[in-house]
Amino acid sequence: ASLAAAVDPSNNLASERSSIESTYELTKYLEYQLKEIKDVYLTYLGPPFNEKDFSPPRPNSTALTLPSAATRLELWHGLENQARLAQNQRAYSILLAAVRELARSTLCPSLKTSLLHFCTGLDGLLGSISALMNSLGYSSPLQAAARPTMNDFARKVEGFWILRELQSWLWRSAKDFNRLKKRLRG
Amino acid sequence: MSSMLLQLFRLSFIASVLHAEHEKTSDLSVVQQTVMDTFHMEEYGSYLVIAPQSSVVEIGTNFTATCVITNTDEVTADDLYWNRSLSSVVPKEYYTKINVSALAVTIPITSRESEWLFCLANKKSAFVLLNKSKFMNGIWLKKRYPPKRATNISCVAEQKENEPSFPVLSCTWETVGHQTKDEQTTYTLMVEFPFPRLNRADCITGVFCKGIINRTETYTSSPTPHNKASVSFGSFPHHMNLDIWVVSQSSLGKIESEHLRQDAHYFVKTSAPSNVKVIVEQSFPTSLLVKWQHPIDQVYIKLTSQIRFCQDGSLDWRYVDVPNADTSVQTSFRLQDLQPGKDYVIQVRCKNVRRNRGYWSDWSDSVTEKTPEDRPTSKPDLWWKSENGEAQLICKEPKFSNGRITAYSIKLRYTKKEGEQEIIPVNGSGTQQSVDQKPVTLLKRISLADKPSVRVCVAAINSVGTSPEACLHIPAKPSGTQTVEGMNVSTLDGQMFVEWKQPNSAAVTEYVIEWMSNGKIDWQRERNSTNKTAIKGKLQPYVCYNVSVYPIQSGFIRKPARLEAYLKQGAPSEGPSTQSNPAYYSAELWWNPIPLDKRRGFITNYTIFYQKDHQLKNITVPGNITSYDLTNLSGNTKYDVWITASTIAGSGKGISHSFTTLKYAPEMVAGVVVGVSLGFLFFVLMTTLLCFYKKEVIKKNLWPQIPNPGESTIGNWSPDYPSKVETPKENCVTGVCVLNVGVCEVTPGFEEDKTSLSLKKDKYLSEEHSSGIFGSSCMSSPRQSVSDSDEGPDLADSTASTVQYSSVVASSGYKGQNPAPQPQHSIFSRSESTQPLLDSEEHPDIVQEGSRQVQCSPRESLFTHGAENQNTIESDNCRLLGMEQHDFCPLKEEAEQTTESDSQSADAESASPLSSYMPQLGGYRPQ
Repeated sequence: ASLAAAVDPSNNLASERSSIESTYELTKYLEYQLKEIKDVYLTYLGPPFNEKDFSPPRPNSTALTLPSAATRLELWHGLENQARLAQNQRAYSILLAAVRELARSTLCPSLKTSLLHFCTGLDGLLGSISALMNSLGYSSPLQAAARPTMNDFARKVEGFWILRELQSWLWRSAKDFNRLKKRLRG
Repeated sequence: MSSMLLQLFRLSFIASVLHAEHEKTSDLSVVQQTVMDTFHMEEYGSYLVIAPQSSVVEIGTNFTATCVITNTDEVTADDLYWNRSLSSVVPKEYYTKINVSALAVTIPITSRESEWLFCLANKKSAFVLLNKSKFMNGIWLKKRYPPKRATNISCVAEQKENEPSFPVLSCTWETVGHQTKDEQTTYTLMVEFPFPRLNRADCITGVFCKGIINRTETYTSSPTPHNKASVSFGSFPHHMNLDIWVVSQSSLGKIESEHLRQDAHYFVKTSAPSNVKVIVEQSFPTSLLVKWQHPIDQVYIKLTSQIRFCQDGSLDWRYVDVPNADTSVQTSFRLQDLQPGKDYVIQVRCKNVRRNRGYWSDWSDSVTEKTPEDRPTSKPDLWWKSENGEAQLICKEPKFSNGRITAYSIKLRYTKKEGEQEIIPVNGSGTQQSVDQKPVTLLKRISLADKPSVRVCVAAINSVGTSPEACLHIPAKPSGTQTVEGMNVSTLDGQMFVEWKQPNSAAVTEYVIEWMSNGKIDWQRERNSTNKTAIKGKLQPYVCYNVSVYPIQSGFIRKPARLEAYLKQGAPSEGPSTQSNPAYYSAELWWNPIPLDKRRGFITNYTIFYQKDHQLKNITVPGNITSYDLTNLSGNTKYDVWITASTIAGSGKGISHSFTTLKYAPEMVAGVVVGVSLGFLFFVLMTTLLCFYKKEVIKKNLWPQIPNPGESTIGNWSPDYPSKVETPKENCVTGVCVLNVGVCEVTPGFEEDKTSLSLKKDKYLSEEHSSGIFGSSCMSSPRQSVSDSDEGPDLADSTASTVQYSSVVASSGYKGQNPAPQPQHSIFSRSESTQPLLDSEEHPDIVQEGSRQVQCSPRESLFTHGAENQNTIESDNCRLLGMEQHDFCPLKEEAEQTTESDSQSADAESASPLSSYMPQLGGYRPQ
């Protein structure tokens, strides 16, 4: 909070805009990257996860204790920037831990490398959001979650939903950052 | 006692080694190792210990060492002192006494050479003296600079071909700091990501921002002594902030460079755009549509593009930044304001759309495309050249030909009624030269002999249409007074500038600057307000140009101002060739001007060099003369002469020419001729006078009086010889007979013929002499054949037709005793005169006496002389004795003659009645 007090948004407007632009680009890149990884990962999970219209029920595991990105748009837009950023930060911190666990438990080396690289990018996105919140004077609470033990299929379902939620969040985050950039420009 | 000796020996050994080290530092490592080993040996028994034991010290800093006394109370800290090397004592102001048994010293490290630092005890006690080596310790100070620091790091990550990957980040940097020769700084490139993006300093440098990122990946290059290194990524960290720095390391530790923290795309250099296509649209002759593909998807990097294009062959690139829309990436662009009918070369490159991020890619491959043609939109550049009384119409293509010119339309109008029109097809270049470098086309030759002027209008035609007309009034001779004055031509920086004054009176519409050299003509047009311009054509140095400024008044060409000029002058490439007309004291020299293409500048002067016997003289004459009289020369002397022609840039030497001055001056020749002529006249005159006065004497000496035989009275003078003249013929016949008698067949009646006696005698003598001389002549001589044959009288008749009046003395042949194979009658000297032989007449008795002696002596001599040698000697004696020995000689000679004849003809010998000669043959000397 003391750090945020020292920030003069008007003086750093250009750098913030640039930072938001970069965060937006990173989000779009991660979204693109995830799309490729997801296909590979579903193939890795095998049937029925790689089938086109397969959609298992969303588990209520610790890794997915975050609110779904599939909320109504008007509700989401009705939130303050700070709240949206905070939710983004919380979601990605949870999802990052989940993806990192997926990478750890993945046996395919190339998929593991891709997931870890994706995690690096996701960590970068998380850092960018945190830094953005700091620069805008928002606090950024971080939290860690313990993971319960699960059987193999449940773990696969969780992995399936982690990537799906991640995709939704990235898609929406990109729109958030684009909107935030436009708001700052105005 | 033995222990003390051993200690002393060790000490002396250390001292000697250290001394050697001090004097010769080149073998430092060996010395150092030896000494260190020695100290290690002493460590166990030394009472002094130095901390630190061995150290690398930084040059430019202070170094502190402490000497501690252990296991003895013999000395205290007050007894200790420090030495740098073995003999240089460190002053006490550098000492710091820690306690009673420890003494510290702090010394500045200034020099680069490594050195020893010794701690010693100085107490005059027997124990210390005896254990001196135990009260001594030293450390080796390795002096080093701190590692060099990397600065100004710059990195680039080039795209892997056709992949969205930038696998290697290569960085270079500069270094600051010093380094000793025996130490090398190594550098390690460090890359870490992701790094927080915010640019706020307190975040970038603070721990807070580090904490934002949970985990980071760090890439490290292998250490290198060079100023560049690279790291390889498994996957390029797109859209992530990188933290890049270089760690420098040496024996004194590590130093980090400043950190370079930028988005990863700050360093990327993508491949060049691909599939560049240029689309031509016939309806837009001034436009080309360019399309291309980016090398990487915009999800990785959003790119912007730049196009450059130029007319083919010009390399005068024009650059166009392709504007980007907010949402989409632009991959096509329409180039406009192009010239129709021209080939354009087009290239595209790209970079990160974000400003100051990334590097421009390389340019794509060139694509050349031609814009559609359009009708020429400007006039052709019409001009004229006067040559050999006719006007040559020349022109350049229009500036905007908008395609290839295929023909020119020419309209000629001599008067208001008289005119003609013509279409002249040409093969236009269609190339991209600028208007000042377009080729000159000869359109037509027209004769203006009977016309004052002609108005010419020319239009250029291409495949689309016709250009506007360019018109010119060409006079037979430019009229009017010279309207342009004060013309001046100057050169500067490889350009030729023409300057003139604008006329006050005439209304000039434009000026034409024309320059001509070696028959090549070019021109350019200037506005009427211009009074100075640079010639835009390609001018050659060392070439003389005729530069003219033509004022044009409403299309009428007026009288020009004209100057010769060089863009750059040089020394003439050759000198003039010299010819001469030498005189006695002088020589006239003349030479031809150097050909224009060899002058390479304005000739300022000629220098005539002439040399005689290595004495070189020279005379400088103005550049406008071509002959000179050399004076004060020496007569009859060879001169070498050559002429150099000079410009302001140098001289060119001509071919050396030699001439020799005349041997005599003309006046000298005239004097000699006059003198000789006068002398000759005087001589002739004197001779004439002499002849005149001494005529008789001369006549007497040169033309003696010869009596006319016809008037001789000798025939009638003696009554005893009435038939003197006729008798020889008869006597001759009988004379032959007399000879036969002489060979010992005497004719009794012969003596009675006294009338012919004297003649017989003569003939006899003649034959004897000839036989004596030519021993073998008997066979071929008619007279001797007569003597050997009975047929002699008949032959004698033939040979006796000429009367012999005198005897022949052929002494030389005889003397040689070497008879020729054939008789040589030519040695007989015979007078054909019919004059009476006065001597014979005066001494007839002598002849008769000889004749008798001959007749009686032969037989005697045959038996007297057996030996040939004696015979020869006697023959010689005979000849020497002359007429006094004549009584004996003839027979000897005849014997010899016969022998020689016989030796050559056995038949003659056998047939000869003189067989008595035969016994002598064996002793005769072969011929």
